[in-house]
Amino acid sequence: MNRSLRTAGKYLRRSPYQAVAAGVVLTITFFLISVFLLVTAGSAKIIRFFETRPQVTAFLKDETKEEEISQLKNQMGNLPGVKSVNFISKQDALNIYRRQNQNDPLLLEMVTADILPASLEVTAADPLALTRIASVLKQNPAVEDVVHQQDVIDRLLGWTRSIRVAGSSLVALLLISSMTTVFVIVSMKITGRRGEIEIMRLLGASRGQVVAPFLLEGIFYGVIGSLLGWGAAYTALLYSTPLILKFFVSIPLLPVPFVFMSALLGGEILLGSLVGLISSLFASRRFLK
Amino acid sequence: MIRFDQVTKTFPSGTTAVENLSFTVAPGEFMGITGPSGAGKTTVLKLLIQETPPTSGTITVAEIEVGKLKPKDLPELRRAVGAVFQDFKILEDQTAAENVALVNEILGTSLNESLSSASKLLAEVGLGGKENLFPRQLSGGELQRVAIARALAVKPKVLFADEPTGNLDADTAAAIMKLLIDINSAGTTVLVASHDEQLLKHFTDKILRLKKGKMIT
Repeated sequence: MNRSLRTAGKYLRRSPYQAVAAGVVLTITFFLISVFLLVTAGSAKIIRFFETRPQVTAFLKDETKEEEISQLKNQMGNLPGVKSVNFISKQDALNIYRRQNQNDPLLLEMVTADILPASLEVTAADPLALTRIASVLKQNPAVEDVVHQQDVIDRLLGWTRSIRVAGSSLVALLLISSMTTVFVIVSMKITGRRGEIEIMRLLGASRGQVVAPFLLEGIFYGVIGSLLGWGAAYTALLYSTPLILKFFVSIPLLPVPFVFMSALLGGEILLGSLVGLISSLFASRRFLK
Repeated sequence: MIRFDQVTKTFPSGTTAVENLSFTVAPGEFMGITGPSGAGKTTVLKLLIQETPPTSGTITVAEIEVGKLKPKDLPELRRAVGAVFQDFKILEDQTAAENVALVNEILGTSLNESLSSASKLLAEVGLGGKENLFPRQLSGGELQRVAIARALAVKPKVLFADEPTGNLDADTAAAIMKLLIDINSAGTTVLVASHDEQLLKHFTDKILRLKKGKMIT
């Protein structure tokens, strides 16, 4: 094993550009795999966030009088399955908006209470009651529009599905291209070391002893690529944290749990090792007959 | 120790390199194989270490029937037969000591231990102090000695040297032959293939003469 490790190290040192090429391709692959998995996990968290808050928001017409609002509030409060009813006035809406955009003075300047609609937030005790609550609200003449979480969840699920399909296809393509790169590089190494391989065999080296350095080299590319790709994705995540926090104000997406990031790293190292191992195994089977 | 029984080797091109060759070498013997270029001397070595299989006939080395060995058992045979190749087959990017140590490393010995025993072997073949030189820094005779030291590294039962004096001057050739005689005196069976019959005659009476793959008397 020591000799195989030493020989693999020697092969890497002697052709650094090939090693860098393989490392770059695998790093890009694992960076995008990390990003894809983080986005997938994030969307799942967003969906769960909405699923656990069974809420219907009814935006009221500007001309709605206070008595009508109070009447609607009472009507909804008495409806079976309703947990609470909360009125958000135009001024409350403006306050919420100001809170959410406190770091962006330009956005604050442009908005006044007049252009924001007042609304009723109806929280259901049971998510199954959401559709019934929404239909009661829609029938009320004071209500302009009704948004309930099921719509948001359905829309999010649609996006998530598209992201998954596109992401999985991209990851599959990148993995194939990484495997091809490692295969080509290891094949070139084997071809370039034919003489040395022949001598080793004539001196009694087993097939395993001849092949081991090439397999280790493939695994090395995979491990380095996965480490760097994961590191780059984590750095990008830290760098974009303020932006994410600003965009998903009330959804607790960050920080990403340490266990998740560790599992991601472990999984990627394993996948990287397998990619390198399988590619170099194919190369040695093809060129060491 | 070594037995060739009606061995024929015909290559896919149709060339018959060895035809109905039979000979026996007893343990501890020193045998010469001679003949002009293309006589089949190198093929005998290749057959002995199963670098190429015989077309027909049987080859036995230390009670092992070489032709029946499975590919996974070949390393064991190649470790039992020390081979000194005509073109040396020395790794250009490794020092003399590393080249010799390679065999023991293949057997699982640590690098330090292998290098230490390689230095001793190099000293035995007259290359003391040249352990750290690379092949390009050594003369033909010295490279031949490195190849011999490497063949001896596994303490083989049989040593086969193919044209060990090929491109060497007379004095160096005699010194190499003397070294092979010393190795034989220590108990190793030695086979030396050389086109120079006169040289072989100086060192042994048992000479196998080949011409176009056939044994001649």
